[in-house]
Amino acid sequence: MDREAEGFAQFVETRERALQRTAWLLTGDWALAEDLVQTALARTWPHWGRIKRRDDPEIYVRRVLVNTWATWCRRRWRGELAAATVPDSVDPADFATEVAVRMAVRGALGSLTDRQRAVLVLRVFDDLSEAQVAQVLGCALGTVKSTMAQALARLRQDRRLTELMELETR
Amino acid sequence: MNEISASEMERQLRILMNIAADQPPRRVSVEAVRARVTRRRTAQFLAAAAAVVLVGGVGVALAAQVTGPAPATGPVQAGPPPFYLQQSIAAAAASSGVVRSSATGEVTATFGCPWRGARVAISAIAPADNRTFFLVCQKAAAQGTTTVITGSRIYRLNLTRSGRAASYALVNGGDLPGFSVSGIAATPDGSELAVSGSTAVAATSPVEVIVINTKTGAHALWTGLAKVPGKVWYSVRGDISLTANGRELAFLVEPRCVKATAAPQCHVSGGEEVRAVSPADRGGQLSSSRLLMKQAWIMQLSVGYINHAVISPDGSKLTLAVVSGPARSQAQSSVSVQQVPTATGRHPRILYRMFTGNGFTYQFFSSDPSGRYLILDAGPARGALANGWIDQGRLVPLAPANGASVLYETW
Repeated sequence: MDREAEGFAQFVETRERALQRTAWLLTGDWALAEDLVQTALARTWPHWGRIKRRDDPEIYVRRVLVNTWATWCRRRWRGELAAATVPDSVDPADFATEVAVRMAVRGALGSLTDRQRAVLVLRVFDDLSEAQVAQVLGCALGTVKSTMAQALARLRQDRRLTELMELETR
Repeated sequence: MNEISASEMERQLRILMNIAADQPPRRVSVEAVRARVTRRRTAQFLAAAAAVVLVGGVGVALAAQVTGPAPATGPVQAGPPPFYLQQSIAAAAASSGVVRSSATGEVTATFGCPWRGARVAISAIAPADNRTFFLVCQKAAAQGTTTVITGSRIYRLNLTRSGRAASYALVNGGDLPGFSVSGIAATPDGSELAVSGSTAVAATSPVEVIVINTKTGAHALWTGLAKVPGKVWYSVRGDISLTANGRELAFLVEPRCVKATAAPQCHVSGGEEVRAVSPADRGGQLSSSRLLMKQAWIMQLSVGYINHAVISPDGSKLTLAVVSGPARSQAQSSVSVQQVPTATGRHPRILYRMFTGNGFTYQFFSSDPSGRYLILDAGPARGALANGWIDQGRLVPLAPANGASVLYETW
């Protein structure tokens, strides 16, 4: 394996889980999240020689990830349709509280616009600074701030989420 | 709910998101990505060929020029750094370490070596800012009855605001085949690194320090003296440090006289020395370094040693970890952290002193990038060791307080 390929393999090995978690928060579906990460990495790999020379290649990968997801959102037909019943089998280690949290978070994120969701996930979950979020999304710093405020305002109205937060503060 | 502030709401959301986005059920493998790239390329080729046939040989190529972001630099901390990296005896066996919250001791991330088969070198971690660290991974191979380091690689670990790993990447110019790293230092902006160590192959002018420009990947080599009978020889110990502008490279050495029966005898006096070269990125002979201080200027040579020396970011001070046995004036051994001005190298100011009774145990000393927050792990020869940071002459315990199980901590 040449050095470039090895560097890419190392990056995938160390960061794919973190990228998948971000992708899940964006898509709300593990299969889609996996697909999104694979697509983002596949788009990144041909340019890896150039990307790895940057200080932070992950910012670039996240940018591709969010842009790919935004492209998917803009499509009228996404290849798959959401179903009320999921065919997945139950994970025996999945406890009720975690499921409740997962559903509440997925529902709350689903109530946001695509841009609000992207800003919230990158800022809160991925801990990027406002400037970095602006870089990833290719928008102004002020847009990030206002979108974040709008997203938080909308989430405050989500009853299930607020109940969970109240439990958390007790 | 309305009374919750935005920052508190963000904190709670982060917790809930972390629970919700639990570990993915499946891994994304490199092979799957490669297969997809191959499919994409094949599809692109077929589409292009079809377009050529249909349109009559007109092709369109688009190339995206993407500009990357500047490295993020964290704000200046008004208190101890929020996180510290810890290598413990237990974690070292697994060749990994942890990132802990300075306030609570909670583990926020773990780190290992992305380089397959390599291990994180103990103590070879340099903080750049409070959320950026440089780590050294090394590979070893058995040669006869001994094990030799066959190569080192330097990785940059960036942490998020909550202490999780944001990115982990090989540093530009950080691949050092055949070089065994013993110490590492970084400038606060991470643009320059210095590593001390040795090459596996013996040389007349061995490379002792490599200064790496992480923007260009360029190396500047500082070579040591060859051992010549009858001449003074010294080699750099692991301790090296850089000023904030990367201009001054300071290092601790112990001069020794290379003795030989047929050669004229030399003489060494004054004990250990802290020396500096400038500009660090020029490279050259370490023998051209200038003396900043000698051990004899601050203590009796018979009672102790300087175990560690760090130059301050502005280059005006040296912070020293000093160990000493019982002297006439003191009935006890001690471990202390002292500062001397680089201008004089004398008249130390004691920042902290721990009396340890009969004997002492010294584990390590480290400094944050500002030179203000210092971590020390030391204690009596037999008994509990204390790991903590020095604040106004006190050692504030780091959580978890268990100095004996820790190999290295830095922030």
